[in-house]
Amino acid sequence: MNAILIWIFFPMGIAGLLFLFQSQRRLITLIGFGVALLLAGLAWVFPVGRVTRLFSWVFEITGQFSVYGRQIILTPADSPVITLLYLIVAFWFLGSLATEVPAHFVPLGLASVGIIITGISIEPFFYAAILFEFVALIFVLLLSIPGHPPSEGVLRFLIFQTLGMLFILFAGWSLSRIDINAPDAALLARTLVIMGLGFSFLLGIFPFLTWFPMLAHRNNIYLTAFMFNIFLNGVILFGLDFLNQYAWVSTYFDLREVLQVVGVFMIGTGGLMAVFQNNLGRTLGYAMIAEVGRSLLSISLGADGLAIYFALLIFQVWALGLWSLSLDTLSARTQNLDFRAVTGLARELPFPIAGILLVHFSLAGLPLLGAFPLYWYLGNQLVEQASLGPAVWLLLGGIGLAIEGTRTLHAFIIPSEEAAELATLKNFSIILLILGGSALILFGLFPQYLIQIGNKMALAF
Amino acid sequence: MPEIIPTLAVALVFLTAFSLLLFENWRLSIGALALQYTGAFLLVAQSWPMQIAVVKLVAGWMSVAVFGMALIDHFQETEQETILNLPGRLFRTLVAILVGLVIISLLPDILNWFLGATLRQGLGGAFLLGLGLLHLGLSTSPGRVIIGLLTVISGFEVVYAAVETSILLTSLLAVVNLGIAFVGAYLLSLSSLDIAEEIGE
Repeated sequence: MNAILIWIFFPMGIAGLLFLFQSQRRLITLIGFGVALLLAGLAWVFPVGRVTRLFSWVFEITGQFSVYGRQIILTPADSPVITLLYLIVAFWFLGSLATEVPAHFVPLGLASVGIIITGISIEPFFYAAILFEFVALIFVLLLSIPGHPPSEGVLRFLIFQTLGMLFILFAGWSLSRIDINAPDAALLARTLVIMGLGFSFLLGIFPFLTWFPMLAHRNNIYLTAFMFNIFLNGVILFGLDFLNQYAWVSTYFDLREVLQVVGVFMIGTGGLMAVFQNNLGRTLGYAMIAEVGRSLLSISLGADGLAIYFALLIFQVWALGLWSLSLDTLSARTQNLDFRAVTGLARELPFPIAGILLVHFSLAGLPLLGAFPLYWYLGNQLVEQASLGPAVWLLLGGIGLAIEGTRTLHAFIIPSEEAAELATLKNFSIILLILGGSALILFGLFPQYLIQIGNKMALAF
Repeated sequence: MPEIIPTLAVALVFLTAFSLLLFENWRLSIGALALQYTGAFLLVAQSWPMQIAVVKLVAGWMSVAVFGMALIDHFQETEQETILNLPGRLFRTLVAILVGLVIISLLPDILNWFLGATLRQGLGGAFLLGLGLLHLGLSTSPGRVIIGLLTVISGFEVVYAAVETSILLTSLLAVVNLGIAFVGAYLLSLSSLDIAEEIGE
């Protein structure tokens, strides 16, 4: 059996089939959820490359596939990452049952994960740039809801992703010209700058980050949060794959310092700009910018940092899921996420409001909530490695989000002049909101399990 | 290939990219885009065997066909087309000339970066890249953004063809062209699609 057929072609085939039955939205969502869970379970139980016995059947899942001389290679170390990616997508599919997202969400979501896994396992690595362009095109389709003209954020996202692809393709070719034993310093520096620019476009690194708040402001918030979660972390995994393959580059250039400077810029921009927002969607966009910064800071720390990155990723899935579900519930009733539209809603819609505030203060790093122990651990590691500046910015970014959280809390609790008639919540939504909120608190109480999972994931890189 | 053809191709890609920037008439845009792909094909054919280079032309024309159909439908439905006024056209002309001058002054560097590219390939590719980026910077409507992206990718393909001859990469870039054209067509048709159909409830 071939791992690529199981974890890449099979889900894409299922996605194609589900696309044909969009009139049955709930059914295809449940099928998509089941398939994603099944694939996550298979990756966990039958790791790639290991001889496995199932009753009397002994078999090995091979991890290589050749296309026109290029290889798609999955290794045993990739199994936890594949498990995590399919669990993430299953989580989002389940949550979508409580929202009004378009029916093509599940097939396109499933296909995008298949392409992302191809992207992080293809060799030479720069082919992944084209695959991520396909994923970007899928997300443009997903975020553009029929009946509404495409938002400027979607167009800007498409432009930046396409430019990023071109930069990475050029840098990939340029890198192949460099002699590893005696590299031309000028050529290597130029190549790394171009590669850096490519990843900056893909990840929305300062100053190419304008599409974050634009997307979160004007598009369906649940789909936008899904895109942030899957696409950005897919690109980060692609970046980790690059750093893994070209580890020799770090002997000539201090990539750690570059990652820390970029991470600080992102945390600073996200945290400080969040303070001035009067729209809950835009706040999510800026919080996500800070999240990318935290991920980069974690990765800059090496092996220990990778475990923190994966722990933060698991937390981020829950946080974004709960936040976007709460915001979607809110916007379905108010049609708008401006402060003016949500004033005084704490009494009418306590569950989504509690969800929003819980995530907001968790991401700000408030003690006892989910992200606090992870930020604490990250900050400690930074200080231990004599990176005091980034640790201070980590704190400042959190303070920015906390201030915006307080403003949001104020908007929710001050009495509104107009008494609005709002539709009641579905029981399923309430259950999901309670489960999500409880998980965030549990993450804060038992962070060691997140770090343990993070350690296991980090082995892939 | 006679020496004059690549020179004509450079002139063709410059004129088409310039006209795409200057005129927003959809008939002219479709025609200019199709001609632009012909120019790009002639430049790519300097480095690649004709049977592989023709992939660029076919994929480009298919993209133009897909996107062009959507443009026609879009303008027939909305019956509105932005028409640039004289100062707007003058501004774009001046900026395009400026971009052209910058490209000519940077040409030695471009040829140094893309080792193996001929002078005409470097010039044609850089014109497309520069004017395409300018187009992206000056446009906000989905149709114009897609035209800008297709122009930028064409320019990149011209200079990249001189350094990379992988068949898989050629076909993937052809699919990217088609994908962008399909997405562009979808974005143009968005306002006429019924939301209830998509939600599927």
